[in-house]
Amino acid sequence: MSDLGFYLNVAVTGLSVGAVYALFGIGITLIYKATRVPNFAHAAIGTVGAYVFFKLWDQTNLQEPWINLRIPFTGLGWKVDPPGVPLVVALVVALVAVGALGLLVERVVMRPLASAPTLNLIIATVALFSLLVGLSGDLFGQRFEAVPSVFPQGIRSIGEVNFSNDALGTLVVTAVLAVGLAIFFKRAALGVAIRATADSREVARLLGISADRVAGFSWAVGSMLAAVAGILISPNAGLTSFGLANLIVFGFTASLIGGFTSLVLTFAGGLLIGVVTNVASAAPWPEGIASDLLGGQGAPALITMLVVIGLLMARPSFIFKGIRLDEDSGVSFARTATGIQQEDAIRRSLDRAGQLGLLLRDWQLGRWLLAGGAAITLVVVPIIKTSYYSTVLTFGIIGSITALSVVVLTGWTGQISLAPLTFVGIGAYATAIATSSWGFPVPLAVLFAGVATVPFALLLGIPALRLRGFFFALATMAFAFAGPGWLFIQPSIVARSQVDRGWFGTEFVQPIYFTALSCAVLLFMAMRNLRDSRVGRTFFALRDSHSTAQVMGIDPVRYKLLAFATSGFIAGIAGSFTGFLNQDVEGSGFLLFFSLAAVLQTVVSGVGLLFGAVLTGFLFSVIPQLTATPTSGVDQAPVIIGGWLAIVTIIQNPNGIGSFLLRLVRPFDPGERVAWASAEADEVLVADEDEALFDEALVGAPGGR
Amino acid sequence: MAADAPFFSVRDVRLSFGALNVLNGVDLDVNRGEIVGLIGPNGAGKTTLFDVISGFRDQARGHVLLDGVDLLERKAWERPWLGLGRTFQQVTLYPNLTIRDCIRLALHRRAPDRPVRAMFAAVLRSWGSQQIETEIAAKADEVIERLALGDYANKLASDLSYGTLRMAELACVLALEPSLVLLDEPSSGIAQRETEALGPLLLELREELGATFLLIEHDMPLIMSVSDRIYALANGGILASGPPSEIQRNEAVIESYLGGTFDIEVAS
Repeated sequence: MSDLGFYLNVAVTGLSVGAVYALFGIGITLIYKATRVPNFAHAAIGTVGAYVFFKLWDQTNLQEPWINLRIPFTGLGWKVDPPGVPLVVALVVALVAVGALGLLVERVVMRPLASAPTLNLIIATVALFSLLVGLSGDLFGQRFEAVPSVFPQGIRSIGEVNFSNDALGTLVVTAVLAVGLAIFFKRAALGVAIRATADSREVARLLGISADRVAGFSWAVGSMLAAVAGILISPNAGLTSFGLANLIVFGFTASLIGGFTSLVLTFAGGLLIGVVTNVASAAPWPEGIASDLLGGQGAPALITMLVVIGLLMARPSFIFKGIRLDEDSGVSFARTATGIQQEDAIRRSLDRAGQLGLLLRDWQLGRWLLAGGAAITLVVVPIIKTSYYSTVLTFGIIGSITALSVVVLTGWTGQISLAPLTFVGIGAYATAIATSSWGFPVPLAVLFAGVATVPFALLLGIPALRLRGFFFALATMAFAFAGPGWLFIQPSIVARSQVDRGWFGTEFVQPIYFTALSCAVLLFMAMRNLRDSRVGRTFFALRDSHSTAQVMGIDPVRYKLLAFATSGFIAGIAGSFTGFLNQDVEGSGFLLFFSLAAVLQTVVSGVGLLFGAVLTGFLFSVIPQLTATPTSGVDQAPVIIGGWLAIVTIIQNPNGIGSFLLRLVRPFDPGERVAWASAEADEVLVADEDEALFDEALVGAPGGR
Repeated sequence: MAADAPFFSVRDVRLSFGALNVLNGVDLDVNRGEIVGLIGPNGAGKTTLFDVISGFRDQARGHVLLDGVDLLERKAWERPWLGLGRTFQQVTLYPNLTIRDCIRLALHRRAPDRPVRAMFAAVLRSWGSQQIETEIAAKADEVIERLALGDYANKLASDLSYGTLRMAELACVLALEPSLVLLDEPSSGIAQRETEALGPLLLELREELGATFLLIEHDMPLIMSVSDRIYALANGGILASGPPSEIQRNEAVIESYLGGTFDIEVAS
């Protein structure tokens, strides 16, 4: 076969993969257009659809054909074997199930957030991503399953170019769906309503278009599109919850090329990404560095990252018509009115019952007891218990340090980075290289891991200077994907991924644990000092209002980069201990999924709260280890519960559970009672007014009673 | 710079959005210690001119000289370090920070701006950084007391009423100790009683700080009573300038902005 023929065939495969990316992208764009929700869970929804389909279809031969119904934390459960049904039935069931899932998500998660800032929407869908991936792992199994194509096997050739039926079918299905949607938007009343809502929510509402109906429809249809994409890509990519959900990156890339508005450009963008990544993977790069960096398995992640960040930075106007990439300046997790009312109501009722003073006094005592208990656990347990517990606790400490890095960057400076684990990974590899190749002693290696992570963090900081909110989150996601997808699989890095434990020796667990613990304590104290200083305050200022910060003489560039560097340094230290503990550094430990989980944990506790974040970072790392059973593998219940908690938190009280509790036990201020009294008086007044208006409306209405 | 050059001057400032000329050659001068008013109908370009001066419209051309330095050649965040302070038409401050912290942030200008060094000093709680913190805290208490914000100092900015928020914003600007203050409609959104107190307050603050004020205001009694001179803007250009009494009688200003029925007696 000629070279040209070879590349044409590679391109054709790329086209069919790209068509699926386009399909993901079209669903994302549909939901974004209609509801302004950037759906990070899109591919995860598609994963659920693909699982339902392949579990039902009678032509598959799965290792785990059953569905696991588990009792969380016990390792107990039932295996339900679904009946095998023909393709069409399986497809209909899968589409209906996923459509219902989309409706459910819209109703339960998104509708309460209808007027929330974009940042909260991002967290909600990221949490959904986490929850659905965890749920898929629990229900459908965590093994990599090979599945057949839904199209009959066979190949058609035109000259040298071979079209497999799978590729052809995928292309045709995608094209039909894209054209169908385009016509729907042009002609159908609901399609026009969606476009109108996308243009202006207020005007659409005045015209009598129900925003809820538009949103529900978009979520249902968008989810079904995701399911179709999941079913089409599984024969190529394999059926795993982690792997499929990760395709969100490509879907977002396609949507971005379409400016989150144009279906045609999104479709073209998906195809383009598919072809370019496929050709780059197969291209004959000169042996050595070029082929390592640009070709092979890593090519898709690298190209996607470059395209996403490049597009966002250059902002070509033919794509971004009418989208402002820095529209979000509100990047802090503000307290909601309901949250404040709840806090107030609880304090008020405690005060009435005469219990508030008691609670505050108990809290003063209780916090010392808690602190003492924690200190004893952290110091004594690792000494008297087996090394297993020390290992688990070390994971907890690493989780805490990681959480610190999230607090500084996201909680304080308001930069929503979805890549914390990428930096942890860089720290781990830096430790491996420093100890094995260069013979660094332990303390120097830990320090080096932190310092070596800083330039990478600064690199991610550059897009942050131009982008805010969703679009910055998108850039960080592409970055998080390129970590394990490209950087960590570089042959020169993989060859040096063994950590030399050096001074830690063969009885390494407890020494590592206590070193990590002391580092965590030092970092915690350092960050507390930072928080109460000029620099910390400046970070808060940049989070809360960019323009006010500037008129107060704050340089956004240097301070933001400083926050990135600080966060990167801390994450690098966490990575160093990961490396020392695991010895074998593996890229799979730093997947996007884990990055998202780290961000969600901090949201749950209160993203600006140092101690809360450290605590949840610890708990969320320790609990899954303790509940893992040899028979069932890692129990996904903590992931599912964590995702759900994050959703509830972001709806109820975006400031986090920790902040909520802390505000409950804040010192009593006599002014509060005055405020409560006047609030009660207001309530009565408002109720009276409402009643009066109501009466008037009844009497005054033409033809009224 | 000649000794008699004005303290602050705007020279031929132009700004256009596409084909729309928002500012076409604005010139104005403010002498040290003056309070100068800026009036004009909506869309005249008043707030846009403030945005140009404070660095939020970097497409503008022309010169804005503060004490001999051309502000347009500096970044927005550098301008406060040269002595510029401003308020916004719509106050937000920092919604999730307490008023005390907002004011402390404004006081950061008292210490040198070296982020990396400041961070290491803060992390290690160095003696120097503690000194600066103590100084800032003490100074913040002074400002809070001066503007009678004591009851609100520990409240979050987002929890305050709009009028109080305005006062807090003013406190922040004063804490910056600017030599030139741009006030964008300080009376908008606050109660009549508070507006009436604003005029005397501004005059007092000028005495205490020795600062110069440029003021946008729609409340005619207020602006006429505090301003030494007034510029009237219309369609992105200066329509007229002079002392308040002259401006009130200026035919063109009455035509474009004040309206024929404006009662001159109000201000005198």
